[in-house]
Amino acid sequence: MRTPRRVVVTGIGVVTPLGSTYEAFKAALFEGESGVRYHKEWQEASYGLKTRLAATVNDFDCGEIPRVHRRSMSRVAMLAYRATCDAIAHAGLTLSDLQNENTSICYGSTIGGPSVLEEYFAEAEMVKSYIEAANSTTFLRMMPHTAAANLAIALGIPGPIHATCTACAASTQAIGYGYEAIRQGKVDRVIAGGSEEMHRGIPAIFEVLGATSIKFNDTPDASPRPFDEKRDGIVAGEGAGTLILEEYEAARARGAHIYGELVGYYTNNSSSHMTNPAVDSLVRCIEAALRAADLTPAEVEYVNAHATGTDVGDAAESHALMKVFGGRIKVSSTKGHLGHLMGAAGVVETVASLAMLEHKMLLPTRNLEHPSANCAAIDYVMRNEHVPELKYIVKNSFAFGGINATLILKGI
Amino acid sequence: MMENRLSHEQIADQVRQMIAEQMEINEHELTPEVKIFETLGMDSLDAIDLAIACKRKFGLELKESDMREVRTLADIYSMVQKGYDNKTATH
Repeated sequence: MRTPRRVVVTGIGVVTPLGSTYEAFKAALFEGESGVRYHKEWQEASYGLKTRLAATVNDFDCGEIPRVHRRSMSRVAMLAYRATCDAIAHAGLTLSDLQNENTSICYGSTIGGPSVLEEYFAEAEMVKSYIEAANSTTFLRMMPHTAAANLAIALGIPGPIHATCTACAASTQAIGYGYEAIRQGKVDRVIAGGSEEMHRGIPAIFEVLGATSIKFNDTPDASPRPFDEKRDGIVAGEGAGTLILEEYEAARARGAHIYGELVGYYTNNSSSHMTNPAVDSLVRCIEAALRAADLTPAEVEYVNAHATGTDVGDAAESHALMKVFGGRIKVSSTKGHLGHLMGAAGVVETVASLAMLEHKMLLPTRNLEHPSANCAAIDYVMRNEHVPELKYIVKNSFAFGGINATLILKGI
Repeated sequence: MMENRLSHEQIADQVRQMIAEQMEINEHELTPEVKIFETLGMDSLDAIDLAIACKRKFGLELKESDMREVRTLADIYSMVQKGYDNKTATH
């Protein structure tokens, strides 16, 4: 049997509430900054929301996009475009390197372009016509695969597109698909990641389920609080992240800088409940990813948790980690800094994990002061922690619909 | 009704403005002989949006087959002018 190919990350692009270059993002993370902001306009027009907090990308400048491409893009695609152009440049590649069928685009978001969806259906109701409310690009700007398709057309990449729309696990699954495609020899390079635009409907949906943070409107940077005893839910966010994945030998041959290696991936679903995480299915997912990477739990120093700051979710994940790794495992969630970037969460947190591997430095969970009594007694990272032997990071993402996804990263 | 009727020149002016806005092109560049597909880079989606704009502005139902006949801006002007004349004549 042919040895499976190795897959490495050679380029990173991010647009986040904490900075829109890899360097700026990293600096803000290691400084312990918060991307969460109070939104005054939500006070004036709350649409029923109790929360006023969101982690938004302010002063976003997409740069020049030709009209012919811009006409089919909503914000979710523009964020994706900007992150992807930056990732390509960061990898030292040009478009002509990628304009072939050996390059795939694996890119996710939660629901495509929600603002366009809202405008279209509201207008249709007003004018009592689905025809008059539309123009030629209405669907192209709102469709679930709008980010992935716009990247392909705007960048002229003719390879396969895999658009994941599995909510909070979307970009982790996108990276996972990309990893598998290169590993199995289907393609040589993958543009992998995810994007999300802020829409008040998202925190609203979580608020209905009792899962949006509403107690910290007066102290925005004190929420979300993953694993903390005072946590009261998510803070919704927006952003985009793109990784350039390449086959290891080819990356080395062209002298690319390697930020880390992907060594394992697994995804499953709980098959039990749409929103309640099932500890046993999380355990199965993480254990299968470890087997795929040919690792024992003892070889992993740290887990970058999905932990969003909800009562049920954080507790379930902590107990799953306890079961797989035991109490010695170091764990933190980057959502304390970033909020929950939904379709972009997995990739942006993977970027944070790559930064931790690069600097052999673990980030704490921002706002975690007192681990909650209903969370397992694992080793919560409480401050920036230098770990010279740091080699492997497990990255979890979970989503409504019972979706679990786990990536395993290795430092170079 | 008659006093509100648009002249052919007014229709051409309005259509030119619509195309300039849609295609993000300076109106001064839009001379009648300009080829809309080759020179302006319009494609099938742009043609649909132009037809939608004409419907909103002039209440005209332009046929796709008519749009396919069009080559230059002057062709668009005369197509819209003709449609407008037919429509207003029947009122």
